[in-house]
Amino acid sequence: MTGRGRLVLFAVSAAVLAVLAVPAVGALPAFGSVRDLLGDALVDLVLRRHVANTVTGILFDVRAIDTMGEEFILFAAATGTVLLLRTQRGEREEEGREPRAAQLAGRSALVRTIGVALLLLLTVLGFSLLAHGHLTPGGGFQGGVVLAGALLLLYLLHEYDTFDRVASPSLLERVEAVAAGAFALIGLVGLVWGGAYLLNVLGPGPTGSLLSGGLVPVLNVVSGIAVGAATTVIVAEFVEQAFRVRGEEGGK
Amino acid sequence: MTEILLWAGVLLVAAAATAVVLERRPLEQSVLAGVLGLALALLFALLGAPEVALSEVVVGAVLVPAMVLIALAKVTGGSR
Repeated sequence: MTGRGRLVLFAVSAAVLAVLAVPAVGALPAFGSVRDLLGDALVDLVLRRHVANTVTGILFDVRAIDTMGEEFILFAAATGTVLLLRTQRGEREEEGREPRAAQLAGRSALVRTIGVALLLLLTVLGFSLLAHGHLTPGGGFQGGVVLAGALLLLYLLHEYDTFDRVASPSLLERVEAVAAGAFALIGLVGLVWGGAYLLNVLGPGPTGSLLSGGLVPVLNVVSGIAVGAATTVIVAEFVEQAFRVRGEEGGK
Repeated sequence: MTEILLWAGVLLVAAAATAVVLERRPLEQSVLAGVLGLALALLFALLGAPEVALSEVVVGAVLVPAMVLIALAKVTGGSR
């Protein structure tokens, strides 16, 4: 199809979409005007189970089984990445520093200063988001990926040795497997105690404190560890494949 | 006032998305994709969904550009 034909097709489709979508969006109910069973369940969550952040409460109490499914999706993604990017027979892995990356960008003092400051900020922010997931917006997923981002920053600062030590795939794969398995096993406690898998069995605690919401902060921390480890494994495998694995001919 | 902010957010997202589509070079495109992630996060925060905004920042402005850039480095052999 020619460029001109594509433009005509786009214009016609956009016009049809605009005619249909604009009245539809305008006819949506205003925020907070719809009351239904889910809204009542959420209010009950806050009042009885003392979970201040309802989104995390949904993720780890009302619909915890969906979160377990997501944990295992991430687990499968990390395992698949490691499997696909493993060193194959015709390739070898270079140890030590990245030759080209170290030449491309010198160790500028400005980059290092800003980078170290950002690294400290990201680490503290990541752990804070993780720990306070059941009280303020955030949670295990967000905190875990921020921590993985801090590790990526470590790589960008040319601290390859520290990066290798902290982000070693073998260690992180074990951490992630243990965390994902712990999530599944904690659910069994609910099954034994109250007859429902992943039932919230711990006491509610005072609203707004770190130890409130029953099982929610426990599952939150466990899933945060699993997510951080899985994301770091995926990024570390990508980095290793891009900069360290060479074919036998010495090509890219 | 909130209406104006919401409309500004929507227009920002539309502008960022159009810029991503119109940019042809992969390196610049990945940075623009990060900007689009940030614009979306701003819109989500304005609509009263801070959790979703945090997730969007973390995925769209950190992970996606990082993975695209690493894949790009592998494919071009570090020359671009």
